[in-house]
Amino acid sequence: VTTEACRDWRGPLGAAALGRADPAEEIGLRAHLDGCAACRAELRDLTAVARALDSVSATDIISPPSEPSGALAGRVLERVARERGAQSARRNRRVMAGVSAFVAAAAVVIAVVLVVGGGAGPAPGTRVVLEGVGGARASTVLRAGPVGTHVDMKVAGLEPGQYYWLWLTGASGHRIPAGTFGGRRQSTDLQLTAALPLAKARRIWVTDDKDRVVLDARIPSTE
Amino acid sequence: VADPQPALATDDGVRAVYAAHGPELYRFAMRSLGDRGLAEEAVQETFVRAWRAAGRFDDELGSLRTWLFAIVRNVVIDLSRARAVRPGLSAVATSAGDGLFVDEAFDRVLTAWQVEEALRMLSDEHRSALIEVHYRGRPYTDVALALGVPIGTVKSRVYYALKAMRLALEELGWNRDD
Repeated sequence: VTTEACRDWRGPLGAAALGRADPAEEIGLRAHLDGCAACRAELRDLTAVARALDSVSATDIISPPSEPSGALAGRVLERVARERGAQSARRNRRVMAGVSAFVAAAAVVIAVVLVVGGGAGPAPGTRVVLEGVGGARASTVLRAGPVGTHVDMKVAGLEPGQYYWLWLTGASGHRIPAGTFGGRRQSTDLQLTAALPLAKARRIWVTDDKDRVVLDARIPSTE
Repeated sequence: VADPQPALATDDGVRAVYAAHGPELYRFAMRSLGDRGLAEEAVQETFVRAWRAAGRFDDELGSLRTWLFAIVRNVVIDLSRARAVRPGLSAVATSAGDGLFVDEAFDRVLTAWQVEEALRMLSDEHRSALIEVHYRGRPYTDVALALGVPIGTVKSRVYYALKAMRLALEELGWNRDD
C-alpha cells in the first residue's frame, strides 16, 4: 500500500535502483523498505530497468540516432511491388503450364481418335469369328503390331465371376497367352496382345480357369 | 494497423505499415548489423517476407509490431550468416553457428534496441535527467545546478523516468532477466 511516506522515498528509490543512493539517505530508505513491501517490489522493478539500461553504452545513447534514408520507404514499396509482380507471373506460368498440359493431353486424345477411327479407317486386320460352347461367342480382328499380335475382341455369353485366358498358337504348336479377362454375359470389347507375330499365328482360342476350351478358331495364313 | 493483411495487400497499406514501423525496424537492424546498407536491405526483405506471409498473420495472437520483429530477427540472422558482417549480433552469430548462442546474442541486441526505443518515448525532462545521471554519470547536485532546479526535482525526474521506461519497455515486449 502506497503511503505518504512512500511518496517521500521515491527520489531515493530511483537513485538506489541506479546504484547512486546518497549514503545519508540510504539508512532511512533501508528502514522504510524493511516495513514496506510495495516499495521493495518497486525497487526490484526499477533495478531490473536499470540493468536493462546498461545494455546500451553511453556512447550509443549520446550519439545521434541512426535513421533510415528517406529513400528507404520507396525502396520497400518497390521491392514489395516487384515481389507481387513475380508472384503474379509465377501464378500465370502455373496456369499456362496447366493449360498447356491440358492442350497436350487433348491433342493426344485427338491423335488417338484420328489414328484409330479416322477417315483412313483401322489398320488392315484379319477378321476371325470364334466358335463357342455353352452360348459363348466372339469375333476378333487381329492386327500385326511391333511386339506381337493385337487382338480386338468382341465377346459375349461367358460366365460372370469366372476368368478366361485368350491364347494364340503358332506354327510350332506352342501357345502364347494374350492375357486374361473376367466373364460377362453381355457383349464386351477387349484389346489384348500376344507376343507372337500375326504371320506365325495359326489358332486363336479361349480357355476357362480349368483350362477347358470355350472359344476356338483357326487363323487363316497371312503369309 | 488493425488489419495488416489488406493493409499489406496495397501500396498505401505497405506505406502505412512502413511509416508506423519501418524506422524502428531499421534501427533494430542497424544495431544488429552495424551497417546502414545491410540494415536497409534487412528492412526491405522484412517487408517482402511480411507481404508473402500476410495471410498467416493473426492479430489475435500478437501485434503487428511483434510479428514484424519476429521476421526482421530472422532476416538479420540470415544476413549475418550470409555476409559475416560485424559488429553486433553478427560477430557472435556467424562464428558460433549455435542456435542458443545466436539467441543469446539476439536477446542482448533486442534489449539494447528496446532501451533505445523506450528512451525515445520519454519526455525530454525525464530522458535528459536519466542520461545525465546514469549514462554520463554526473552527480545529482551537478545536474541540479546545471538545470537550475532543486536536487529533489532531479531525483524525482529520474524516478519517474525509470517508471516510464518500465512501461515503455513492457510495451516493446521486454523480458525482464530477474
